[in-house]
Amino acid sequence: VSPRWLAWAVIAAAVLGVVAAAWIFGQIAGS
Amino acid sequence: MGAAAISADRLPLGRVVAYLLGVAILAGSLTLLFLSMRAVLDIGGACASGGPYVPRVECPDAVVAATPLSIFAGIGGVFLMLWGGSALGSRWIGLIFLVWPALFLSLGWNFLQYGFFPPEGADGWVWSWIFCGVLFVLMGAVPLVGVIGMIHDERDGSRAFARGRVVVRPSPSPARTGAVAPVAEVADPASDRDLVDRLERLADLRRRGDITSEEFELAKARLLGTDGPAT
Repeated sequence: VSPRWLAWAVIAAAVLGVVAAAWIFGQIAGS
Repeated sequence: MGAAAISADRLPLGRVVAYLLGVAILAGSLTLLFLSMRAVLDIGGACASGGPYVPRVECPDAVVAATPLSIFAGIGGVFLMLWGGSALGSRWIGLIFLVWPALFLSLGWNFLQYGFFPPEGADGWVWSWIFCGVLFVLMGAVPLVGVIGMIHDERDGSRAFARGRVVVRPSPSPARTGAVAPVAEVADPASDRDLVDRLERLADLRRRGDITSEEFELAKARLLGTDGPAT
């Protein structure tokens, strides 16, 4: 495991967090 | 991320997972806050809910749920990143700083967008929102630009160091030569990079508390081939 690998993992985690939050917000707002 | 401050065989997986979870939670919290603010701006910029009074504009359910959630989850995300990052090195902890510009730039964007293109009912530009937008963008952008400049300077410095353009060698013991200042000279880049890596790993071990300051000084002196620390 290298820091470069970790950097990509951080970017992936951030994108995942944004998408999940947008979905959750959409679900609450839609209901 | 430049030099490998982490050795692959000793990377604690639990801390990495915690760190990544913290990143995801923090990014999600910022997104929730961003979307909640847009929902409030959509209904005129102010709302209320709960309490003994009857508010003029009731907050949408999503805002009531998402705003406190984003704040508490965001704080949790920061702690997860701190805990996980403490095992990975200071550079990874430093990433937490990005929360500040991300928060102010995203909310500032909302203010500017709604200030220049207000929702129905508003007449022309909403100057109070534009003012807030400019303020928020400045608060987010100024520290970000400053830190990016610092990173560039540091990177330029370490590149010059690694290429052997600038090499600071510890001088022989002052007692023997009387010299105090380090001597700059051109040296073999590969071996110097190796030396720098080893010194960085030693410093990391001390920072994590795996070795004491005394052990660090001894190991450093051995690496540099100088006399041990003065006792």
